[in-house]
Amino acid sequence: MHREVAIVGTGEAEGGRRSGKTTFELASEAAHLALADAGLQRDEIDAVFLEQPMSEHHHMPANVFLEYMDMRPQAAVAFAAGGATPHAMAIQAAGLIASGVYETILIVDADGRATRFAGDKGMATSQAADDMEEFETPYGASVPGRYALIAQRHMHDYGTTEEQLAQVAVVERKHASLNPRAAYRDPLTVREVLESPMVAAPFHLLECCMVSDWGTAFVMTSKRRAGRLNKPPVWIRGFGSAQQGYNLAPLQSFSSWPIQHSAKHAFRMAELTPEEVHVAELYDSFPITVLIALEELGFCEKGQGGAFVQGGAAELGGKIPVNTHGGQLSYACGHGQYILEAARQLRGEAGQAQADGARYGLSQGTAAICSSSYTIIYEAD
Amino acid sequence: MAELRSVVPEPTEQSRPYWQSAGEHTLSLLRCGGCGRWIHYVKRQCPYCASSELSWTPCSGRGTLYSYSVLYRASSPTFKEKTPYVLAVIELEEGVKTMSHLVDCELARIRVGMDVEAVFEELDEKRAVPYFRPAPRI
Ligand SMILES: [Zn+2]
Repeated sequence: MHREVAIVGTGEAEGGRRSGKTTFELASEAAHLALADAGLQRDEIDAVFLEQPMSEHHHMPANVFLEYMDMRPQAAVAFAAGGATPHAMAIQAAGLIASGVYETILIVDADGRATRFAGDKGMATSQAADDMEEFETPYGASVPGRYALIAQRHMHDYGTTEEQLAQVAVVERKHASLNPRAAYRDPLTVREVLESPMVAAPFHLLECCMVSDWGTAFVMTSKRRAGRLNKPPVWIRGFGSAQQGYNLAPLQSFSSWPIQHSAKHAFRMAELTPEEVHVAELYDSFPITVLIALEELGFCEKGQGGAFVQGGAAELGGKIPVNTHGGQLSYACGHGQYILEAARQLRGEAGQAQADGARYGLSQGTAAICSSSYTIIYEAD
Repeated sequence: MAELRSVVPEPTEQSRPYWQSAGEHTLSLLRCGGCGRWIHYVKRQCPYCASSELSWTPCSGRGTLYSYSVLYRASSPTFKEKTPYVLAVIELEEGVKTMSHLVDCELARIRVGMDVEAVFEELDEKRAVPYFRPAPRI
């Protein structure tokens, strides 16, 4: 895909550990910022895609969002693809724009879950509820516990160590320290990570996704309109996706994930190789997703993710800087942040955390532990 | 064990035989009469051949530890009380996996791939929760 569809505006609400804002307030705050960033008016949006928020159980949340924005687009649809939802929405949008169905699409992902679930320990301990709960709730299968199950298997299969997993949190904190917007900026050592309380072995508290409120939005449009707006477009160069079921126990294997297939599709469409990508923003609820993504995206050999990160390859200045904003371990909770950071890097707006010569970027949305995968490759203008 | 009972949902019409069998200390899973494959979790139709002839069939209760995590933090009081507990994915001899706990095993002795066998913790008069413990290699 060559300069047909672009991200032309991004916006991020002031979230934080307890913003006091509702999901729709965060969503509209981010959306107004994204429209202003692009230089677009509300009536120039043809479709709105909204992530189904965890903290608001409305059956038509995208239409509620329209009320907050006083918008009347052709389409307003909510998507539910877990942590991968913004990536899933961006890929659907790219296809619709490229084929001429809609020209300009506003994509919003917000959740006031820290405010809504105040007092609850949130993601650090929460249960994942689903139809199969009858076979999992009797066992206290927490979210960290589920990720830990695939991490433990990775350690068994490939010799990955606790130190290597901890290094992911250390690298992300190093990047966050360069980012004035990051929630946690104090430097961190592997030892400090390993000395933080154990939550679900091998994961310690400092390796668990934080819980905060967030709102992110971005606007995608056609080549025709992209050139006439405020900022240089960030072009969609390729994308791919691949899926399997939801629960862990029914999976054939924990050693092979759909990410490798979504990567293959994305790199083929982009006509690029992993070696040509300058920056990668990878879904990181827990360090294991970063290691598996690095491997399956082809940035390193299968099983070598731990050694790759330990050797400094994922740091700014390394082979492929990863989560240059700090990710969900140090920057903020949220699902759209990876796309926004990729855009920031490719526009050269990342300040002190700017990756050198960032012409091609990649972002990876992963959900259902690692069973849902969406990969997007971007090109700077 | 009143507390564990409080976090286990009431069985559905579909799943009741699983819990009843466990109550009799036998792990039973669905097996497809059409293609012979074992099916877990509970379904009304075989995902492989679409047959509706699924029957609850006792299985060996033996398998290996596919992966595990020792949990030190939990959300509900029931599981807080149990910490640290060993969340486990068991690969059964029949070729399907199930979520469970590994019990009766020192944490330092846990190894991925170790042989395990089902044991049952009573939930009430009729139901029990299947757990797994280390088994001697046969
Ligand atoms: Zn069948």
